[in-house]
Parts: sequence; C-alpha cells; structure tokens
Amino acid sequence: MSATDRHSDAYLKLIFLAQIASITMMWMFLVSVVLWILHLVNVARELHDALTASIGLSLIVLPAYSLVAAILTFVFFGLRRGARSENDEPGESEGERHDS
Amino acid sequence: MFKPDPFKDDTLFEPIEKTGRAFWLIFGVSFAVFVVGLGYYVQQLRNGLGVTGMMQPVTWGFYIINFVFFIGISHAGTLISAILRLTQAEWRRPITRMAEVITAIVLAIGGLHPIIDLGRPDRVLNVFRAGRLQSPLLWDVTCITAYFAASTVYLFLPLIPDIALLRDRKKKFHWLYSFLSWGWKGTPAQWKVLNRAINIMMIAVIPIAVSVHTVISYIFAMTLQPGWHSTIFGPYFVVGAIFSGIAALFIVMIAFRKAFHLEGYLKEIHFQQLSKLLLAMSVLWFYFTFCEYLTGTYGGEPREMTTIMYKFSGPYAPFFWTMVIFNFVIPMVFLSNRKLRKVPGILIASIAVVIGMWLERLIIVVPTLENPALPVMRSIYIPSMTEIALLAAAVAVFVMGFLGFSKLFPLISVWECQEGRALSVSETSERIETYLPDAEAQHVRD
Repeated sequence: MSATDRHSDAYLKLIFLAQIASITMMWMFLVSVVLWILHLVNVARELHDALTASIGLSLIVLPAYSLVAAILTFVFFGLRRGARSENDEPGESEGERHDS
Repeated sequence: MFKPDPFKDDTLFEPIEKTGRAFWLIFGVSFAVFVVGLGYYVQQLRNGLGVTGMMQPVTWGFYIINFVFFIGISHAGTLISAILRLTQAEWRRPITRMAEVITAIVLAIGGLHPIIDLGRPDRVLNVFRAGRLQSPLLWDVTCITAYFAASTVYLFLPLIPDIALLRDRKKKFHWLYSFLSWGWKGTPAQWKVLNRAINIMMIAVIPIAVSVHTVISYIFAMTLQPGWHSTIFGPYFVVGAIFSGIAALFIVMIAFRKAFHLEGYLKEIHFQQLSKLLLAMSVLWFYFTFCEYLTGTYGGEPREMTTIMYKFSGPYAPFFWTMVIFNFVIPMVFLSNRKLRKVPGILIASIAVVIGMWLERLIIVVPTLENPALPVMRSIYIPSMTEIALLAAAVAVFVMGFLGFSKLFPLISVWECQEGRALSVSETSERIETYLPDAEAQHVRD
C-alpha cells in the first residue's frame, strides 16, 4: 500500500467517524428531548397540573422527533450498504417511487 | 439506471465556484446591518426591555410580530416542496431546493425572536427546568423545534446526490462534501433507500408544517382577548403562512435568477404556474379575513367592536387598509391579468404580499393589547430604534444565510433537473396514458 493510499484510508476513516458522531448526536438529541418531556410530565404530576394534557402532547411530539432520527439512521446505513452492492436490483422509475 | 453527471449543468455550479464582486457587496452590507443590530441587542441586554417601545399593557411588539411573520414564511419551503413532490408536479424540479432553504433559514431566525423578546435570554432555561406542557407557549417550542429538525432533514436528503456531484468535481471543500455525501455512489440500492426516505419525509412534513402555524395561532386564540379568541385562527394563520411563503419564494427566485443568469432553469412557465397558486392563496386569505371580521362585527360585542373599529377607522386604519390593498388588491391586479402576470408583475405582487403579511401580523398582535379588557391605562405602541434595527438585522441574517448556502450548495437541484430530462418525459407520458379512459370502454358503450 502506498503512502497516498494510507493517507486516503485514514482520511476516509476520519470522515466515517465524523459521520457516525453526527448520527449519534441526533440520537442524543432525541434522548434529551424524551428526558426533558418526561421531566415536564413529572413536574405536572407533582403540581397536579393537567397531567393528561402533558401526556397527550408528548404522544404527539415524540413520534415526530423519533421519525426524523430513524429516517436519518435508515438513510445513513442504507447508503453504506447500498454502496457495497453495486450490482443488485435495478433503479426505480419515478412512477414506482411514488407507488412505494 | 439514472446517474447524474457532475460535469453537466455548469451554470448551477458557477455560484459555488466563482464569487463576483456583487456577492461581497451584498454580503458586506448585510453583515454591517447585522453588526448594527447586534450592537442594539447588546444595549438591550445591558439596559433591559426598557429600550424597546413595549410597555404595559402592550407587552408584545415587533419581536413577536417578526416571530409569527418569519415562521409563516417558513411554510414556503417544506410545505410547497412537499405538496409539489407529492402531486408529481414536474415543474417543481428547479424550485423545490430554494423553497426548502428558505424554510430552514427563516425557521432559525423566527425561532430566536421569542428569546430576544424575553429580555433576559437566560430565562429560556426555565422552559427546560419548569415548563408547563399545557401552555400553548410550550407547544410552540416543541412544534417549532420538531419542524426545524424535520425540514432540515427534508432539505438534506434530496441534497445528498448533489453533494456527491460537488465531491466528484473536486474543486474545493472536498472534506465537507465527502462528510455530507454519506458515501453516495448512486447505486440502485442507494437510490431506493434515498427515494423511500424522501417519500416518507414529504408526507410526514406536511402535518408537522400545518401543526406549527396552527399552534402559533393558539398563543393568541387560547386567550379570551377580543380580536384573538377565534376558532378560525388556526387555518387563518396557516393560509397566511403559505401565502407569505410563496411570495418570499418568488422574491428569492427572481433575485437569484437575475444574479446567476438562471433564466434557462427558472423559466417563465415556472413563474406562471406558481403565480396561480399565489393568486389562489390571495383569494383564500381574503375569504378568511372577511369571515374573521364579519362574525366579529355582526355579533357587535362591545369589547370586540372596540378592537375592530380601532383597526377599521382608528389609529391602525392606515395599516389595516394598506394590508388589504397589498394582500388582495395588488395581487388581484397583477396576477389575474395575463398581460401583467410576467416576472416584473409577479415581483411587485410578491413584495406587496410580504409587506402586507407583515402588516397583518402587526394588526393581529398590537391593537388587541392597546385595548385591554381590564380597566388599566391605555397606551400607543411605537417601536424603538432597537426593534427596528433588530428587524433589519433579521432580514440581513436571512440574506447572509441564503448567500452562504449558495456558496456551498446548488440552489437548484442538479440531479432532479438531469433526472427530469432523462426520465420524466417518458414516465409522464406513460402516467398520463393511465389517467385516460380506456378505448375498450368506449367500444362497450357503442
């Protein structure tokens, strides 16, 4: 292996680590939001302050955050897997894409 | 298999690879305005909200008006882009990226305004420590952050193939494009994953966007204040948001088309198609405004009437009637007339709508507060230089954000344009064939 290749390998590894870090940060953000909302629900419970409203809002908000984190993770690992399988199934057409 | 070519459509990469003098001039002026605004903000931090025009009972002024206005503009992007993608409108291809960028930038700007309005920004920590989830103010916090996350992801996903094109052109910032392209090679499996994710996001983002402006209307509508306590405020705000968003999108499209010679991409037909949507939104906005004021006036409740007359013929009458002219009369004149519905006419109508919608936010927020329900002393709100400077700074940040984005990424989706040329003509013809009645059905009838 040449020095350039080794440099290129290290460069790619560094970029991969940065990408993993960004995905991890997204999940850490999600976990912080969940913890924050649980804390607020607990505050509402302690103060006897419309607990059901707090739980209702949490049920709406948390899936939205989770979806965003899940989609990013799905795309990140999907693209990495897809990059390795160059010759698998053919690409979708516009029509098929919207049908899926 | 479709594979975009990194060395085609050079015009779209030119803003990234070449920087003209005009760019630095506009960026420099915007930066100067931003620095002046920052200076005024520091003064506000030192002296408190006393440097603003706000006082009892008018405790919401320019900052909350700007908050509602900027969040409204954010509906340009995600909502319009998602709806056009969902309906497979082929003319969307050169438009969607700009719309999505507007959303991400103005959401960040708008979201900061309540913190500026707090006077002491450290108090925002109270939201995390002891917020009350049943308060509409906290619904705003959660909805706007969720929308910001969703719209940023919705901007990023369709950007991945273009980032890979920039990486493959190997001009500059190679490390950044390698980091952001997530190993994109354009294999069939990667296209499948990306298209599936974009499809999920385009559907998910529509209810999130609608919920955001509905929830913003709730900070007014959930009170019992005259002029605010209204059941139609949710849809009224959403309609106004989409309306102002399309107008802002037009202004950006026209400016960048002129600056970067994008006439071959942003054609007259794109303006024609989108202007019909702007006209429809103008009519819808007028309908909602009419409903809102008719029910209030017909009921004749004394406190409600005081606020309404304050807008119709009182101190806010110039703003109210300017709003009606800017949001309804001017768009009707310029957009319903085929001869005037050209780029200059659309630009005039769009500027009028953006100003008119800002006035609408002013008319919603301030007159109600100037006519309090409690028997306290009334006062007239006059914005201070601090508030005006911070409004100018917010606009400057928007300009800098957009210019900054244009230096790093293509403002028109390169791969979507190339895909459109390569595939969509035949696919659209096939799709149209499926819409048409079968020839055999005609035979059976005969």
